[in-house]
Amino acid sequence: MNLLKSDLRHSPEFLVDALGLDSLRSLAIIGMGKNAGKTTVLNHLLNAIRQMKSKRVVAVTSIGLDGEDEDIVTGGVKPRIYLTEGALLATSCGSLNKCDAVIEILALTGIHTATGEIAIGRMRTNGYVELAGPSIARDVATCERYCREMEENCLFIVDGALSRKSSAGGGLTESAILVAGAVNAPSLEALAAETAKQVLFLTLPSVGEQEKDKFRESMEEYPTHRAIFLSVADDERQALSAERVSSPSERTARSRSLPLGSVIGEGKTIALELRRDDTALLLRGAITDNVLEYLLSDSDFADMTLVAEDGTRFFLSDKALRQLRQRSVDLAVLSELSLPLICVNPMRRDGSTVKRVDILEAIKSVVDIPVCELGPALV
Amino acid sequence: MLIISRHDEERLGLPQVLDACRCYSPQGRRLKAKRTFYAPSDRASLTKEFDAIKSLIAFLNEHPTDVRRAAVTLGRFRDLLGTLSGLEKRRPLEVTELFEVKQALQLFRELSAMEPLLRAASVDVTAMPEAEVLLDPGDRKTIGFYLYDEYSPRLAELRQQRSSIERQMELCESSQRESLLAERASLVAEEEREEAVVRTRLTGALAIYLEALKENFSAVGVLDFRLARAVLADQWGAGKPSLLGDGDHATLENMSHPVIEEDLRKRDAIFVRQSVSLPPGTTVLSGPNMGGKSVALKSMTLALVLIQLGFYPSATVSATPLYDFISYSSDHLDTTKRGLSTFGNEIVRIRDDAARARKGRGLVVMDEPCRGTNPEEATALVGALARFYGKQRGSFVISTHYRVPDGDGIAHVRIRGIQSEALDAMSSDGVPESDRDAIRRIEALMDYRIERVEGGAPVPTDAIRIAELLGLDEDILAFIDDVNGKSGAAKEEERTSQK
Repeated sequence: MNLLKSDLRHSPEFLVDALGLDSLRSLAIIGMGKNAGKTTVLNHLLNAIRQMKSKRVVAVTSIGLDGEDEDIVTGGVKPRIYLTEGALLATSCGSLNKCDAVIEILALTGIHTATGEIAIGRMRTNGYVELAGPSIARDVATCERYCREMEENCLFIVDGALSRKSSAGGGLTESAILVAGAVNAPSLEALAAETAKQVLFLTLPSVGEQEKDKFRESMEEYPTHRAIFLSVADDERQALSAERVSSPSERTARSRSLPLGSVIGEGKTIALELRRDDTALLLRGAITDNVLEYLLSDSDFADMTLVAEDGTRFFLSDKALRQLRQRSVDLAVLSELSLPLICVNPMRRDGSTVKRVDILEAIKSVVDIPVCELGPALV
Repeated sequence: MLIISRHDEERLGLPQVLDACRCYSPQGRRLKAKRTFYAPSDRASLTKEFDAIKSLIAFLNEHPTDVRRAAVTLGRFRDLLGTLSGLEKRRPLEVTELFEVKQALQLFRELSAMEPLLRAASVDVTAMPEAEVLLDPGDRKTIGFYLYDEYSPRLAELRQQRSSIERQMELCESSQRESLLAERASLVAEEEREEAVVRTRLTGALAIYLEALKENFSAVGVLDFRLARAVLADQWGAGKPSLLGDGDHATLENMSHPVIEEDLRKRDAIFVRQSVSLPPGTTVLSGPNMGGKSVALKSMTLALVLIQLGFYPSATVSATPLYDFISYSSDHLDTTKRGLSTFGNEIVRIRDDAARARKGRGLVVMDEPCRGTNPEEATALVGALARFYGKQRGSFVISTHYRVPDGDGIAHVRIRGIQSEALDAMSSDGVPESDRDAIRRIEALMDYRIERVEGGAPVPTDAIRIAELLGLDEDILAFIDDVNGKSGAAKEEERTSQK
């Protein structure tokens, strides 16, 4: 891609092409942490969509609160989200009062958040908005359904964050942009290493179709169960002992599950349920070092696949990744995500910036995905 | 008034039945949760409820599609208590609240067009076109709502000015941007002030319709709850209850317990429906172990409770006088309550029921009272209770293993149970494969019908036979024979003859 030369700013057409915005149905903007620069990227995206020849209606929401004037954690001034007439948004009633556009209320979703019920609205004028969407993935999917009832072919954009509490977008959206800010790590080297790890997680392959079907069956039957184990069926075990079957997907899998309220804090319970013939373990929640510590303490946790609902659910250290490799435990996801672009933001917490070229080069040196720095968005 | 503890309500199956009665709107759900108890003085209102439910049952069988459509409309209603309260206090409504009112007005219009259904339900839901115009000044006929330009020329003007500045911002040099942003911010502030004026004016205009809105919401609740009860009655094949006068017998024919019936259906078993008649005074229900006395009491009590809560009971025919109160207690009393023992609690309950029964006409149901007390004293207590209630205006129903002598106002009924020939035949069929198999075989032999008996009828004595069939240790059975004074030879002879 010629446009990816590090000394060039990128045109709106670049974003349209790189992300396939003509036909993409849904996109998540995933920040590496607080103040990564997601809102700036969102504003660039919205600007690029406005300039597209084929007009597309965008529908925007966030995981939790975003787009507020001030960062309520650090007190710093934050960029605002600017939406134009016709766009849809899913935000809380409390945040609607902080939007300065005329917004037509189309539906009230019954999803309640700390700042009120989530409403679906349509921009009747241009204006600045505050997004305070649902905090859990399932509710984001509900918001998308509402938006598609209004505009079937809208481009649904989720402004998300990597957080243990909520899923940023994987499984919910077709595609994602990862935003890495200089603010998210103490040095460019550390930022590069962390970005490389996130890219690894976000681009993990999905489990085989047979396992996926088995997991989905189990999830449908026991929607509240957070740990689902797949093992080789009894009638297959004998055959396996005589002749090793090369691919897990060729085996007949049996599933069992644990009725846990959450994955966090239940590592021990999950480890106790592990069996030697388990081939895959799906954990429906954040997979952290703490959970892994218990699993690794069990010798049965080896030669298998550890599965998350999507790549945003892994929060593992380098050490944990090494230990998994030693045990021949592969990582996989239920919903694969396309990650066509990484955006970087050179701004540090104190308002100073690192060199644009330096941050671009640092990230490019560790990933095979296009990297760009879009600059400030004038809205 | 219902005098039933939360635990006993669970055992009775009342919460499960209320859950199965599916209302679609928050208004209907609130009405259901209110649990209106129709006392004797509310006979006219209850009759009206039952008439409407009867018409609705016929309607839903003739027009199922219309009912489904109504359910969808009802399901779109929201709880607007806060908004209506705001309207009452003339608090300027938020845009989202105005949207809610607009949506409700559209739904009222939809429902008002369903005339045959409303007629069947004896409910009036009226369209409010004037109020609709207020919230759709441009006659857009859209589902959404915002503060339209039509509400205020000044608002329209401010929005145009802002739009013009935003267009300039898109094309301007960055040096001009700050001043344009400031100008825009000033317009936005003025726009917000004008919007507040519009909201206040609109709230005032809508307040005129407050009473009509309340009446419509109330009607929606009534329609929803009546429809839900009609659907339930139709599922149960329930007949319309007849309301009788004081002193009449309550009658339930082919009654079932819907929750237990459903559980049995899931395991391919059949609930044997029962019929019972309860005269004023005391009715003593006896029957063998595993004979379903508790289930019969639950079915009967649940049916009579449901009638007084405005539901059709799960019985093909039902007729009852209305009671001032219904009290039900099973043997599992909450021993932690007030720090009293099980017996203490039970006596307090008996004392309070007796006091209520002296003042009003109640239905008092007790499942095996005094079962934890020594049999001699318990027999005396239960007998005394039977005689006390035999003289009261209400009805007292107990299931018990204790012998209750005949007396004024005391009727005896019993579950027919298993004929001893059938038990003998089962013994000769060999040992059941499992406990479940044994229980099923015993259940299959049980005749669950309730029959009237004279007070002198013997107390059922199938317990030891059933224990034997369930494989109780032979030594224990032999000791039972010893205790009962039966000789070993006689017993052996009895067993041989059975084989």
